[in-house]
Amino acid sequence: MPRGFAMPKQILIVDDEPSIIVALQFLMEQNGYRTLVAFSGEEAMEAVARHHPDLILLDIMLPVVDGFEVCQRVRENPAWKDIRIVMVTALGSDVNVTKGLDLGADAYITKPFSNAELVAKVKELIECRG
Amino acid sequence: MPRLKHNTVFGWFVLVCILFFTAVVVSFSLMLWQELSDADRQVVLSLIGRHGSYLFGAGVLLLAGLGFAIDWVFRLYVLPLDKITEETKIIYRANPAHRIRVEGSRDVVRLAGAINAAADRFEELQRSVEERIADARVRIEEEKNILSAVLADLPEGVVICNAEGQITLYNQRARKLLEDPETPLLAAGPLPAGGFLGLGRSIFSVVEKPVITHALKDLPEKLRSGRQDLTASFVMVARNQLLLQAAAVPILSPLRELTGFVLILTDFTGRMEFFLRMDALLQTLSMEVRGALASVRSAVEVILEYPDLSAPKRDEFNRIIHREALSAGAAMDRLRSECSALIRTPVSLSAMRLRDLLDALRVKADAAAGLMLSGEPVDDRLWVKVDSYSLTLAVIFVLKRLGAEFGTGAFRWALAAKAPYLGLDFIWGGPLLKLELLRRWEQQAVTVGDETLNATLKEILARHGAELWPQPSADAARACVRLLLEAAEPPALPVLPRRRTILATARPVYYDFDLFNQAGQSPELDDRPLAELAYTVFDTETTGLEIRAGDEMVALGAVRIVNGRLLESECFDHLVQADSPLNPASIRIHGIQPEMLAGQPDVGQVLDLFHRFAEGTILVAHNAAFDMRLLQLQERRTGIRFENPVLDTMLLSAVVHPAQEKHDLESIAERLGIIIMGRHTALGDAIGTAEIFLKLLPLLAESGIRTLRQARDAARNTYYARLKY
Repeated sequence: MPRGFAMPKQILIVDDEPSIIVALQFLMEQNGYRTLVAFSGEEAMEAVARHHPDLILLDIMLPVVDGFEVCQRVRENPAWKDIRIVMVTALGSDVNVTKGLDLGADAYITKPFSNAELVAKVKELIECRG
Repeated sequence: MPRLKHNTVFGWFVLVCILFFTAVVVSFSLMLWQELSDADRQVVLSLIGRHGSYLFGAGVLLLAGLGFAIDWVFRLYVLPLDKITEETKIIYRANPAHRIRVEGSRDVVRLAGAINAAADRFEELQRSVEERIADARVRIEEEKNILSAVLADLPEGVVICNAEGQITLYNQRARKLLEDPETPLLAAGPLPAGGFLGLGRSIFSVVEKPVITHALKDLPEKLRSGRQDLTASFVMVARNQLLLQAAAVPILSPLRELTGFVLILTDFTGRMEFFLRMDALLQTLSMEVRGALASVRSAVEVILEYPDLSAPKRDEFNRIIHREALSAGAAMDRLRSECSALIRTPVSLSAMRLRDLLDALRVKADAAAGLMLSGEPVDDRLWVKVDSYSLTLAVIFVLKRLGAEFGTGAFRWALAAKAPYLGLDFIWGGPLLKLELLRRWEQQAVTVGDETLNATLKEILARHGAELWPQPSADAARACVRLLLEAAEPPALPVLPRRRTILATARPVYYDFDLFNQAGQSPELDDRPLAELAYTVFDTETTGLEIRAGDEMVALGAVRIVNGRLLESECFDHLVQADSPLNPASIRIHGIQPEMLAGQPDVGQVLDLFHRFAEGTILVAHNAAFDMRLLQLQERRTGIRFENPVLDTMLLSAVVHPAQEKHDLESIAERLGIIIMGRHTALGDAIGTAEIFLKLLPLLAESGIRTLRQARDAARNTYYARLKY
């Protein structure tokens, strides 16, 4: 759990599936992070612009604007360069992993994942960012 | 030797005779004059002075007599001999039944008679030779027809081409796959938009050239390295949007040089759709299940990792687990039903009336196992999807074992509706069958008498998606086994028996292997031998004969000649809607009534189609000037320009038979021994013209006319060519 005076890091959880959001939100909060939630690509972009989260847990299959597009839009803006993106998705093929990473995601986690694995990945990325 | 110049020759001959005769008389007179004394000369001069008119008259009479004598000889001997020569050639070149009819001197008539007698003998000989050839041909045809029948029934399209891509063989399936839907070349219907598949045509008019060249590009390398797998497989989209799986198999000469290739085509559209739908289905399912599992796993891990979770939070996670487990289950159910709908359309099963299946079963059970099977008649509207042979045997196999087990030889059937299935109960009077025993039977290979299926009962049932179990009969008084089969929809169309191929006459495949030996297609056709060229022989019917005054085309018929063979199966026959009214005189000739033209394509559509049909060939017509004029008059309106070389059978006939007076279609046909079927229909006349043209080819060759250029030049020089339309 982060210590000291530093503000807790903020994580944006983007998924159109409320069940997984509940679990992820609980998990991240238990690990000392603040959370934001978005149910669609548009909502995610809005949240990014307004709150500048430290990390995004991004589902790919979102209605209208999908996760790939959100990833690309975030990476297009140099002001958001420091935001870490973890793609969390049920699209499990290697092609999609490559596509996600090429579009600028920092990590790719396939559903179903273990909570420990996800938390470790988030910690690693946030601490690396410093 | 120049022809049709007899009158000129005769004129010159007469003039030379007169000059010679005059010269002889004058020289003798001069010689005599020199010998005479002055007194004698005075006497002669006075004699001439007094009787000059007699002498002049005698001279003129003598000359006239000479002229008549020469003319007589010319008409009775020279001209008939010329005609005899021409007609003798007709006998031994084109029509052995032709006989010389000539007027002339008695000697000439006797000569003609002798030649006619020789022709009788020649005809007889030729007939016997032809009979032997025909016998041999029948045998070859039989072999060809076996090939045709095999190819015609193949589910794949087959096209064989020479190295230049000219088609030398194809089957109807290939035509269906490559041409536009239904290709209504004959009679009415929508007009196709793409190219034509036909003998001697280029495969590249129906398949993009780069597709083939790409498929064969590795061939030289493969040949060099001595590889055996020379077939190239590829997928292509046909002009009609069908997705085709193609295999290009090269045909090699003994020296392993490419002489052609076989294109084997399979319609892949349905299967591709199946794969795509399957893929989409699996993708969706995998995503839904992964998503649900992710929620479940996360929730479970949270519960395990945080034992001091508040009760409401724990409840929330429990509900998530429950909800997501249900959603994963639902996704699996959807996959199962959609997948089985997709996959369980087994090719080997066919829809059959349940009544027919039971009838077959009853007869077979009695014949093969001595079992009595009976039951209520079933509704005609009930259909099942079965492989009737294996299922019938499987049921009899079970009934036989039941009979042995319970000592019975009689069963009743009864129906139990279990939509979407049909339950078929086989009832007997004994106790219930133990499931355990049935399971044992299911592992055995199905055998009835000496008929054995290479499959166990379980496999046969699985193949049908069927289930079999014992239970009490509906009235609970007796026992039965229930066979649950999937009900099928009655076929939309009545099931027709598969068309039987009758070998002797079946010609469903069109081929001409001689095209293999043909030089490459080039725009420079002029010096190619006539016998090697591809022709489109056509004829038109019109509203009237005054095409300059606005008479229009009402029918266009054509056939193709490739490598000296008339391809009657590749013909073109269309009626054309005309703007101007039909002339009653023309209706009497061609029989096309105004109401027949209603709803027919207009001239632009038909000419566009014909332009593609005739692409790359020489146009041939009888009195082509008329038909070509008709096409040219439409040029401004339709923008379709026919730039094919043109030959005219009327002119060619005049070239080979200058001494004959008549060169109309009937006279030539009669002379060459051709019977025209369907005279005065566009297609009938086109076929007749084509037959005439084929008979003219050897006669032209005899006159030294062997190339297109020579034929055109010779035709241009005939008298008839000067007629203009």
